[in-house]
Order: sequence, then C-alpha cells, then structure tokens
Amino acid sequence: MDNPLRGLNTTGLNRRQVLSLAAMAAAAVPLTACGSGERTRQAGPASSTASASGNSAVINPDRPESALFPYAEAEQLFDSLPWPKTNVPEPTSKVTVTVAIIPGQRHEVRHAQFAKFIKKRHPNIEIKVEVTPFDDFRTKYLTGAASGVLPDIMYSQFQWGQSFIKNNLYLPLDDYIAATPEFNRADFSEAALSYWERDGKLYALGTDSAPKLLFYNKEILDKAGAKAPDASWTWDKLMEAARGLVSGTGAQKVFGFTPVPKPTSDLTATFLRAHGGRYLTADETKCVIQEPASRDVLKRWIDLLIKDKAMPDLAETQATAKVEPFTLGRGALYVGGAWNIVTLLTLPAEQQFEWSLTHVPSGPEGRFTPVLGSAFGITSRTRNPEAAWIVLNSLRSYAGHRFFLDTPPSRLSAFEENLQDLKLDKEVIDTTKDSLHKYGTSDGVLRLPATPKLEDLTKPIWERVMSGSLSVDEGLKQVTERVTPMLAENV
Amino acid sequence: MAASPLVRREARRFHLFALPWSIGFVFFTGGPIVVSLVLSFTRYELLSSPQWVGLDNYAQLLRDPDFWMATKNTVYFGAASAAAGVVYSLAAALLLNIKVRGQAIFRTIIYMPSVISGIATALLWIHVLHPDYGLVNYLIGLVGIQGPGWLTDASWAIPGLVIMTTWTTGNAMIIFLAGLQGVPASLYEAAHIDGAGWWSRFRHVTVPMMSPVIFFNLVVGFIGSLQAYQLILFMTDGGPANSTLVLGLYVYRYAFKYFEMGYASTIAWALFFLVIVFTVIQFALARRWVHYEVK
Repeated sequence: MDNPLRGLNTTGLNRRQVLSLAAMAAAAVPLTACGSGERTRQAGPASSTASASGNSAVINPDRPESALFPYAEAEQLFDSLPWPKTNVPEPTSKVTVTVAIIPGQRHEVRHAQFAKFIKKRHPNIEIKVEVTPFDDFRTKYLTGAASGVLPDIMYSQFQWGQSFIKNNLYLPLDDYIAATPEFNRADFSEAALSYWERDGKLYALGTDSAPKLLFYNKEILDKAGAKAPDASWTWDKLMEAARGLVSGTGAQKVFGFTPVPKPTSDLTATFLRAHGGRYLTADETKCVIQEPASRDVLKRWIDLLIKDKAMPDLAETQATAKVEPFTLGRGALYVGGAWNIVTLLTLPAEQQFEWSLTHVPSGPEGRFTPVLGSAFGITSRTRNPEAAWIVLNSLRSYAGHRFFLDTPPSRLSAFEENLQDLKLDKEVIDTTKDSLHKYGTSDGVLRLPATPKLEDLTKPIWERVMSGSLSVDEGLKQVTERVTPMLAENV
Repeated sequence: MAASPLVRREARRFHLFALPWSIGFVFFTGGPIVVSLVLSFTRYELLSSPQWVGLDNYAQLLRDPDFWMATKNTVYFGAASAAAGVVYSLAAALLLNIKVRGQAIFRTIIYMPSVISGIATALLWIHVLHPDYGLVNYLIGLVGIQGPGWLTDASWAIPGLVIMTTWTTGNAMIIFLAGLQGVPASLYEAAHIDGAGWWSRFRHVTVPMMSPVIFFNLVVGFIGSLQAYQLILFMTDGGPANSTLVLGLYVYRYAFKYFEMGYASTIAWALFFLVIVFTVIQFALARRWVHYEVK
C-alpha cells in the first residue's frame, strides 16, 4: 500500500515544517475537545433545578454561602428545624458519607451548608458532596458501578429509579425505616415514592414531587381579549382557545399552546388518560397507542399543529433554541411541571411577564396529571450504610425539605410552607396542592428500562408526523411496530 | 555480523523514546480495540457479566433499519464534508499564499475556527444556520431566495452540518499552505512563459504538484468525518427524522444511553470496516490522479 505521507516528503516540507504541523495538529485536539461534557439538558424536573441555579461559584467549605443562601441565615434555619431521630446507631468513629448530586449553585451551596451543620448533630459523620452534570450522571455512576465504585448516597431522576433498582444499585430502605419509629411514610405522596418501589420494597426517598399544571400568560390573553382558563376547562375548550391565541410570525410568533404531545414518558398521563387512551399498558409491556381513544385525540393535536399552526413545529422549536416558548413570553397556554414556578419567578427582570396557573383541563374520562420528581437512595456499594441512613433520613425529612426548599417538596408536611416561601398567591398554592392530592398520578409515566430506547425510536417517526410527511395513522402504526419488540426488555 | 555499539545505542534510544507511545497504545488503544472486538460477540449491559452470543449482534445489525439509515447518512456526511473541506481549505491556502500586507493576520483569522471549542462552534452555527434570523439565510435572502430550515428540514440537515464542519478545516489549510510553498516557482515561471493563465497554472501545475497533499487531506478528512458525532449530538441529536443519525452517534446511544456495550461494539466494528473499505477505495483510485515527484 502506498504511504499517504510520502507525498509530503516530495512537496518541499522540511523536517521542521513537518514537526510544526504535527505540533499544531496535536494542540488542536485538546482545544477542540474542550466543553465536550456540555449537552442539551433533558426536559423534566431535574433540568429545571439545574438550569434555574445559574453559574456555579467556588464554595468556601468553612463558610459555604451564596447571595441566595447567606451563611448566618442558613445556620439559624438549620438550628431551628426539627431534625429527625433514628434508632440506627451512630458511627463510633469518624466516617465519610459521599453524596452524589446534580449541579446548580442552589443545590451545591445548600448541600455544603448541610454538610457543615450536620456535624453539630452527628460529629462522627463527614459528608463529601460529588457534583456531576445531569446529562453525564447516569453514565458516570453506571460505569462506576460496573467497576464496583459508587458513592454512599446517590441522586436519581424518576425515569432512572427502576433501572437502578433492577441492577442492584440501591439498597432497600425498609429495615432502616423500621428502625426509625418517627418516620412517616404517609407523609410522601404515593406517586412520589412509586418510581422507587419494587416488589414491596422502597429504595429511595423523594426530593421534589411535581404535578403538571396549566400555566397561562395573562398579557397574551388580555391582548387577545380571551378569558383566563380555570378548573372548568376541558381539553376541547383548551384546543379551541389555543386556535384563537396564535399571532405574529417568525421570531415574534406567539403560540396558542405548548408543548406538542409526543410519544415520551408522560404522554399517557398528560394527554391520553383524560380521553380514555394510553400509550403503553400499565405494566409497560404492550403498545396500545393505535387504539381509537389515543389515535383520535392525537389526530386532533396534530391538526392543531399542522392546520391551525397553534403549536411550534420543528423549525419553530429549533428557532427557540429548545427553550420552552412559554418562558420566553411566546406561549399563551402551557402544560408544564410545577418546577416551572421557580423558573418563572427567577426570570431576568427584562424577560418577566404576568402569568398564573390553574388545573390541567379535564376530558371525558376525568382529570389526570403526571407527578414527576427525583430522589436519593443509599447505594449497594456503601461501606457505611448506617451512617448513610442517618444522613438520608435527615436529608429527606420534613426539616431537610424545609432546609433545601424543594419545590414542590415530596413531603406533604413541607408542601405549603415551601410554596409560601416563594410568596405565591394562595390560589396558586392550593391549585398545586390539589392537583397533587386529587388527581396527580404516576400511572402511565414510563419508567421501565426500555424507556430511553423507546423515545429515540419513536422520535424520528413522530417528527415525520409533525412535519406532515406521515399521517397520524401511519405514524402510530410505525410507532407500534418499532416499540413492540423493545418492550420485552421491560418484562 | 554484530551491530556496532553506536547502532545498538541508537536502537536503545529509539525504543526508549518510542516507549511512552507504545505503552499508551497497548493500554489505551490496542487493549480497548481487542476488548471491543470480543465484546461485539457478547450481550453486555455493563452491570452484568458479558454473555457470549456468537454472531447474534452482527445478525441483528444487518436487520436493524436504523443502522442502515445511519450508514447511509455517515457516508453522505463523510463524503460531502471531506470534499467540501478539501475544496475550501485548498482555496483558502491559495489565497493565503499570496504575498500581501497582513498575510499573517489573515492566516490566523482563517485558522482560528480550528482551535475553537467544538461546543462553542455548535452554538455559534445553530444561530448562523437559524431559519429566521441566521446569517446564511439572510445572505441567501439578499438575492431573493428563501433559505431552508438548515437543521430542521430532513433534506437540508446534513448540508447544514457540512457547511459548519467546512468552517473548521484550518488544519488541512495549514498543510496545503506548507505544500504550496514547496511547489517550485520555476514551474509557474515556465508555464507563464508558455502563456498559461491562472486557471491553467492551477490546473496543470498546482493540482498535480499538490496531488499527494490533496490525497492526504482527503483521506484524513474522510476518516475523521466518518467518525464524527460530537457536534451532531449537540446540534441535532440525529434529527430531524433520523436524517443526521450517523454511526458514531449510534454507537454513543447504544454504549452510553442504553448501556448495551456488546451491540455498541458491533456497530463500532461496522464503522471500522466502513472506514477501511472507503480508505482502500481511495488508495485504489489515487493511482489515477496522485502524482509523486519521487517514485
């Protein structure tokens, strides 16, 4: 075979030139690789907590604080809270408990403060916090697990829980809970714990537990002379209203409703159950999206997208750089998680607008909303399970939820107080609470191991449906054909 | 005959200097290559032990429609970006070889995109290719043409990515520049005396003399483009409608999203096979157009 470098030797390059080229090429590799860890954040509760936090600053471990969480105030709050007790014995010598979290200054500073103050109550426990970007979190810790290394306490988003449990990454907490008489399991909403339950055992304790709500932009509605939505609204009424709220073009376009329903993890609970439809069966082993109830309602949504142009198409989604149009002030009606309350409250002054929220609309079969969230569990590789429980029990207690200001918190006892701290209207707090208690559900939210693959498989099909190049019927047929073989992984 | 002490000393020094690279290759490249080949015959989901499945993964690969879609996209993207990269970088090198005031500044400006972080490049080009306010569509609009949705239209997504990658071909441009400086001026003078214009001089002097360098950049650029995935992951994540799903991205999905290391290794070996096939084809075709000064 000819040597491809031979030509260089005959074109006048001397040794110095060749070495210079090699050095420049070598330098280009690491420079080009910079920033490889950054990717688009996944939609969901975890992404909002991470993105709402702003830039990470260096935290002084001796006096951790930020503008949002001054040290003295944090210490005063910590000391005033009723931290829980447990019969699980304290370590008799110094132990380190590693806690793996996702980033965000809000999280990091609070965890650093928690790590410092908890020594007052548990002097032999040293907490070490590991921060890993959300997008890399699963990759890092699954790779770590494969080589036998895991932190003591580890974060989990709702979609990861069952996979972590199936692969024995988490320890069951039931024995520790039994040794903690004051632990009130009923203080967590059923939906909040369901993602981390398997075969009657509980493997993690929730941080936040957020129902989806109907947000609306008061300014857009007022300008269009439209009435604000309320609890009496049905999905039919919402679609009709969305048609009348579209205005403008290009970068100035205002959408009537977002987001476009897609075959993703909460399609069933958000858009289908109210009409008697489902994407997968409850045990996630059969695809039923072609059945009339689902098909008919999805056709209506696609009509709203293609014919009425009331929702962002693929180009318009790209045009907003994947940022939710509602938070840009370009969406009139939006069904999104309660974690968006914090996002909207912390918008820069020049981007703020008047908004409010109400219950998601009802359908012929009733009113449903998915409850989504995150949790922490003790890993199976922990060397200090008892110390880890002491930390986890504090972290996820009523006091822990108050200290970390989880919004909305998984613990019902902290629900109202945490939302009141955000200075929200009573109506907003009551609506959020009611939606969680009265019709919030985890039924229909995909969580079994095949879920990431299903989303990738169905995305290109649904993009063709959204662009109008594939009919809804054909799209649903293809979704069913592609998804069905994968569901064997959920058995 | 025994080697002289000088030869032995030189050999020792050679091995000593080569040792760090050799160790690095064995542990960080050669080892994983062998392991991935073995894993491609297993079902391995990271947290459980690999199970030998023979040729099942390869059989699955042949039946996998997304693999064929990714292969088609990979070849399309690889060929288009390698060709566009060579044309652009050769043109830039020809311009930058002209002796004008501020030549070094121009060279720096053209080379600069090559040292910008990949993600910064992606973010920049998402806006440059933006269908509503992007620079590309604005310029096209000046001549009365409505620009496409570069990254949102399945037909235009790969051309959009090719435009972006062409912008970062500064390394190839530097190699062309060095090559151009090695073309004897006497050949241009002779052609000029014979009445050759700039195009004839380019076609009959520059191209033949530069053909080994063009070939080198084409082969290296094509191999690099076949392996590309990072910017595609960030900019389109394979969409719209799988139109930018390339094999590198497909390997990434199976390895680090679904954690199916066995099948991911199988796709990686298919990609390796593709690289070998196209490289052999390029070497075979090279005999027809690459001219070496020294045979």
